[in-house]
Amino acid sequence: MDRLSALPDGLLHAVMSFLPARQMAQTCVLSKRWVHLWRSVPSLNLDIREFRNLSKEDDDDDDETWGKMKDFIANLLMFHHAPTLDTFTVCTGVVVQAAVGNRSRRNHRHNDINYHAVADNRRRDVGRWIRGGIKYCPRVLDVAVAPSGSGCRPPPDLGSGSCCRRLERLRLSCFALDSGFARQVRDSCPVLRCLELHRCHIQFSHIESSTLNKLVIEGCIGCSLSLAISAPRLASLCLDLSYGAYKNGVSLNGLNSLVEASVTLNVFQISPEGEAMLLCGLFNVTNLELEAIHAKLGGVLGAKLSAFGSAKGGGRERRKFYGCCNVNEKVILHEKFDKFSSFNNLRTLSLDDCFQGMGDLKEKFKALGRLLEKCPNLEKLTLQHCWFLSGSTQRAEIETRTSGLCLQSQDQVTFHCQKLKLIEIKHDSELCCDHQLFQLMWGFWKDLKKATIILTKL
Amino acid sequence: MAAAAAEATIDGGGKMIILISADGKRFEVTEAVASQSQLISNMIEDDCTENGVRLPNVDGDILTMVVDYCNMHAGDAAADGDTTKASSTEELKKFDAELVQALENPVLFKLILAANFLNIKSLLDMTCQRVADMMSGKTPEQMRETFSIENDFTPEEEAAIRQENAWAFDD
Repeated sequence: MDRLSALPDGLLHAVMSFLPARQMAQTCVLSKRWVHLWRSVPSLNLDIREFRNLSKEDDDDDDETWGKMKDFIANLLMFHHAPTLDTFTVCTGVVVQAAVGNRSRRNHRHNDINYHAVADNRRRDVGRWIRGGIKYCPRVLDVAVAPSGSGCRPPPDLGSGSCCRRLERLRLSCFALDSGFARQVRDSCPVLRCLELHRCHIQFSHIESSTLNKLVIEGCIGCSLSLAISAPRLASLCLDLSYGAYKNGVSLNGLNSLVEASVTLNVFQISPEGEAMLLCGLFNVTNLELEAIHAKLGGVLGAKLSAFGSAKGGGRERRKFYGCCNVNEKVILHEKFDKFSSFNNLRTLSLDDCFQGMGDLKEKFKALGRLLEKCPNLEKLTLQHCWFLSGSTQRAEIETRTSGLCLQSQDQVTFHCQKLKLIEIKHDSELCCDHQLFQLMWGFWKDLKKATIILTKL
Repeated sequence: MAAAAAEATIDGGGKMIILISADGKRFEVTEAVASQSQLISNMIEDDCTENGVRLPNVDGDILTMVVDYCNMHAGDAAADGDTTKASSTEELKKFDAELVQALENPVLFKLILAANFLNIKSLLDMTCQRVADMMSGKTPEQMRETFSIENDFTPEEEAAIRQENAWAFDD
């Protein structure tokens, strides 16, 4: 027998778990050894891309493609008989809208009717698939549905009873999540460790879990005024609320185990106070990356704290800078920030796109000084695209200043950060202003003579 | 026999233990490196590694690869907070990619079996994924060819199986 077929069933199942469902099922014709293997593979990966007609150029999922997937899943769930599943994945792509749109163009008058009928049917199908998969009590459930137009996100149907008793990781994309969902997470998922919500409508205002270790909320739209997160075992948090309107802020309750955090806020919506409060909720982290903190005239804008070492693809749009904003206070300099405890565990801090803009240089130095003061055990600091303003007015203004005047601004600030060993400054050669760079380095050197400073042009 | 060597310690590292392959090759590794194998980790806990660990299922050349892999990944779990680690994450990825790409058919399956026997989950996942990647996008005929799988069906039998599972095929 060939070496692949000679592997024991368990290892062949492990291999087949990585295959998309249709290919997995097709292995039944390879040889007698393979006829029934697929029926007990503990992972099902359903992806609409497997059902697309390759000869067609666009990824338009018309009724034919959808119908194929639907038939396939109905049969698969009927004949597959693993007692439980490790992983159940459904990905329907993001193209319902296109499919409906094309048809609608042909028949303009029935635009709305068609749209809703198709979207409704497909939502029902997805609901049925999830129910079908969850019956196997999967350890990992990963469902991404097509956002069939904004506001049409379906609520996930996680079933009732004990279907979620083994669920360790739940990942949902493009769903509408209400307080009922939050309740289910709290009450019906006794071993849930990882919850990832992508591009969802978040309607709940409180999420609570005694077991959760990792929480990702990314690209979601927040639909309430505030959000509270209570998860005493949480070690890793990624919170991207760029589309949220949490006017009353986000509170992190008792996140004593938090090690790494990544937070993006809608800078136009949240108050500096709310932002300071959020920053302070992260007091226990070891590694922190702040992206796009804008200590500028208008106040500090978005704070993006992201976990050191978390590999983020380039897919995410980076906030550059904001033209003007009328917030009058700064997060770092906000009195709330002062009152909270220090980041005593913080050892690595990266600031990316922070302190840019047209603010008073003195304020920027003060804010950085204050931030470092709050990090007594910091060992490595990275500044990337920081400091150097991007606005031409400001550059002109700075360049007209004499260096003597400039130096005064940071002389009033002392950087207290005695464990700091390494400072990396990465800057964009085009946007960089030599005066500011010099000042910054002087500022560091003056107080932190032991630290190594590395300067890199990007 | 090798008790003295097995008990030897190196500076700053933990105890050393000896792994012995099926063909008698000996590998000296730290406990931290070896305990990425759940099997060996259990043995260390049970205090039965003193005379070296015999691995009768694993050939020397395969064990060399496993030990290399474990040496590379030893820092993974232990030194998360190490700030100098950032760049080596890239190195690790490169190492893994190169390792797995370089694997030819027979070696790949031996490595899967070794990873399974030694219970090293990350290595097992990586190698299984590699096989799945080799199957992915292929028709059953192409899969047979890639892995030299002998089609032991009669044409009638194969037609019947296809018929029975027609929902999984295009036609």
